[in-house]
Amino acid sequence: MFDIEKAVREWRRGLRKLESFEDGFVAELESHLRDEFDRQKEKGSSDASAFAKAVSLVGRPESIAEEYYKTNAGPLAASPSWTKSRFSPALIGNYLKVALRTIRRHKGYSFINIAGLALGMACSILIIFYIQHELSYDRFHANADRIFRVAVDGMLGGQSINGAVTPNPLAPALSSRYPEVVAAARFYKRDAMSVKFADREFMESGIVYADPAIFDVFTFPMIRGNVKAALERSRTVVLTESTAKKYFGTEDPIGKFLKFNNQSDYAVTGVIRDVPQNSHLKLSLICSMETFFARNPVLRDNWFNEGNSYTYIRLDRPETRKPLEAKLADLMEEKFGKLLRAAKGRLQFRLQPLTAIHLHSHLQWEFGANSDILYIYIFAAIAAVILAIACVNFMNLATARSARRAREVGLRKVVGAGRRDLMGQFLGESTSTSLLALAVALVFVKLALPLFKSISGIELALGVGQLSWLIPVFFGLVLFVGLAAGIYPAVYLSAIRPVKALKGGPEAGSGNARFRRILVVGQFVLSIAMISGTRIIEDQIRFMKNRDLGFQKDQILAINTSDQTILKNLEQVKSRFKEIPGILEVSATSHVPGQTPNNNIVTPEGLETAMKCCFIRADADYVRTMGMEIVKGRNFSKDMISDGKNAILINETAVRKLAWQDPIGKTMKVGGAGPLQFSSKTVVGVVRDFNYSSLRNSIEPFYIDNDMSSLDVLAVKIKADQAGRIVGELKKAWKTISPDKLFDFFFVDELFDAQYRSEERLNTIFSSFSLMAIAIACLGLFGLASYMAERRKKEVGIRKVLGASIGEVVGLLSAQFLKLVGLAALIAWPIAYLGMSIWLRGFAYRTPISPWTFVFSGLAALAIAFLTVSYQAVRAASANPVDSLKYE
Amino acid sequence: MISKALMAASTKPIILSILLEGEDYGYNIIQRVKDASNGFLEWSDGMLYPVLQRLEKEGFISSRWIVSEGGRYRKYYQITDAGRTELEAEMVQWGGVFGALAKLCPLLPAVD
Repeated sequence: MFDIEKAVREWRRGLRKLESFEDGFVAELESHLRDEFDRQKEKGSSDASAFAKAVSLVGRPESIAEEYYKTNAGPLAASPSWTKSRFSPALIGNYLKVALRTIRRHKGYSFINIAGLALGMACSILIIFYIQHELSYDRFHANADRIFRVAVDGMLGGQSINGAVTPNPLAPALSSRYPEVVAAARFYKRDAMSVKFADREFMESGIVYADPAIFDVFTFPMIRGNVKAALERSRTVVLTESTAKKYFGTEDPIGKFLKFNNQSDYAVTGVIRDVPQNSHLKLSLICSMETFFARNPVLRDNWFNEGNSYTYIRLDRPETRKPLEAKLADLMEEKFGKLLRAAKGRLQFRLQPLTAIHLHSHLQWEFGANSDILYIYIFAAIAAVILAIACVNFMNLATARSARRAREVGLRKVVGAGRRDLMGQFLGESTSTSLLALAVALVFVKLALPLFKSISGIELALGVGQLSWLIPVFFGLVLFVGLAAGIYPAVYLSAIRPVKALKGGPEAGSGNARFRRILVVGQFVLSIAMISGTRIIEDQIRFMKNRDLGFQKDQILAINTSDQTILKNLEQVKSRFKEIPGILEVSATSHVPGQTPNNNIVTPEGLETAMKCCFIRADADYVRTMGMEIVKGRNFSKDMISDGKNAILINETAVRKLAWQDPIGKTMKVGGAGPLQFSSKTVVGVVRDFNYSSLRNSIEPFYIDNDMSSLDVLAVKIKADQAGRIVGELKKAWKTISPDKLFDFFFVDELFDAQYRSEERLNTIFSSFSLMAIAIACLGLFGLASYMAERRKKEVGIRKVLGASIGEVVGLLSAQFLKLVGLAALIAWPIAYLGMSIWLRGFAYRTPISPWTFVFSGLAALAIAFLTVSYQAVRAASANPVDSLKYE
Repeated sequence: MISKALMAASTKPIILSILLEGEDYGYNIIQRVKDASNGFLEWSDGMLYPVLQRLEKEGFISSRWIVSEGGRYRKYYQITDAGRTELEAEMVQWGGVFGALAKLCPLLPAVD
């Protein structure tokens, strides 16, 4: 509802700002306004529009005020102060001098101001670097906007499928059928293996098979060798520059042979520049795809079976993506239509832009762990929060100390400075301070880069290459911080009344104490929320690491092996191992927990449609070695030869999903998606549910196959506290069993916990930045407290003379700040609770949010704030009252 | 619209002429000007008040506050003797200008 009285009041307030309006003039104009308002209403206007018309008819207050001013001031007067800024270049020198003088005379405050701003800026710059790095992923390819990865999504057997891998024949089909596909290339990721040249042998992880067309799709500049021919033939390999250097030093690697897994020799046919850090494809050795097909000829044209690869294509134009996706539906129909109808499923090919993979793609079987755009938002928010806290310090201290500058302002006004001049002066001062802070911040950044690298794993350099985007960013940062931090003090200081300021009455700075309190509360709200967030992230990580996973991940050592002779003589190897004291169990398997299991399409008995199911292969000792529990039926038995052919164990989730009353003896058709390799498996037992991967994911239907082919991990359960000795002895035993294979092992708990690396990284970053946030907030609090202590010096003196103890005075001076921090905690808790609940929703298994988290964060903030304030309070309280009261 | 210079020159005689008929307050003065000129003299309403203040300062008019029936405060202005003398002098000047224009300018619109 339109309130005419309120509107008039506001309008009147607008007039009062212009000093020419004396009270009588205002009353007269108001009466006019009301008359006009009444007339407009008679004409039929609504209240609001009548008022608006009346106001516009009265005209601009500034022009009216100017007329009054001319009338009153006589012919000699200059134009009124509000009409134009009489900026005089001659004053710049004076502004600069005053600014420098203020900095020099108040070293403590200047230090707090500059250090606080610099810390805040340094954090923001690091975060900007990080964000820029994340956003730059895969953009270094010349045709980045035209490169896409083919992914598959849809539903099959009641489960959604979102795969990053596609059938092997897809890439050749794409490039031969569709003219808009300029080039199509496949990658097939190989397991880590040992690579050897002469006496140099290393475990390598970034090994792939790839088509020669990768050089048409991607930009991997080749510095040695022939791009066209490098990956044509079987058993050829292209190295990155640093890999080549590792094996060959300064020698020319072309034409030399590298031995993979001590078995096969690969001829080096090319060397490419190192793949940049911001590539989602992490490559060090690229073997020819032909090698893979020469070894597995059946997979070359097989659309159905395992051995899927990553397919990347380059289009002629980015716009052909959608039309091509539509055409791919026909291809899907041609190849899979019958099967999908039989299984009542649907699948489609999707084209993922290359540059979106790192931040937006969360498919199954990703090439490597991707990041998430959510983290970009979180970090951007943290940067903004820290910068805000730092700016608030500046505002707080500047307004708190305004009393000291009130006289300067008063005098400047008396000799003719207008509000705008003063605001310009103060904003200029804050911007210069911010420029100074930037210089300090850059030093901080330089110093923090190694730490940053250890936290984020990203190597950044302050190089010339980034200047093109860094300079505008820095310039913007300085301007933003200067204006954001300076605007309130500028408005406040420039409004000081010269009469009051010069008379030296009650200090002009005392009126805005409430505003300062609000700012302090705001700072601590943010700090406390961040501390709580850190604690909750820690809780969740601890929860994930300590949760009963359904198996024992501790004290299990896994040895990678692809030596088939070991499998042939598995029982001898096991007994050889068990001779070592401290080794409890040995099992051969395809995967240990933490490694991504295989996937298969299964058709369980009594079910018409197929479903997707994860599986691993393992021998009879696996369940015991992993400490799993058989809840129904029996384990595999070495004595039953049939087990090795068709026995499987399924997990409880699978039983539930299939709604089998008695699962024992039921059968499943496995791998039956394609025309090849059908087999029928019989359930011999049910294992208690166990988490095979990160607790982000819920447990899915799973089976363990007793098929003894292609087991390439030996899992060894050892006694606690003897790991060092046992590893040593295992190594020795290994030498006798498999003399020319590297002893390559890892601990299952480490591998499993490595899945939480992104959470841990978030935790490290969150905790270090929340530390920064609270440090900056305390810096400001320290400044405020010292200012307060100084202002109340005489009061403290009198109190002490009258008998107050030091403790009482300290309590008095600290209490006002601690109350603010307490209030901040009350506000911060629900914010942190809500924010972290949203974060926790991303986990299938999550820790409850403990109230102690909040108690802790509140108490921690209180304690830190008390330490900060009490230093000043104690100093003030223990001063001799004689000194403070002497000059009165 | 009329030019700024002419506006500035004409405001004083117009106000004084209106007040010649008796005391009046700002809002009404504006309405009478608008009415008399058929909207030809479009003043920004608020600009009247600094002029009134100046005239008062120069002694051509005087003022007093009156509370109207509706409880609204209104400042009434009346012309002083000095104001009358000033208006007479102005009228002599304006008459001269007007007479000259009437003789010289065939386009001058007739006044009813």
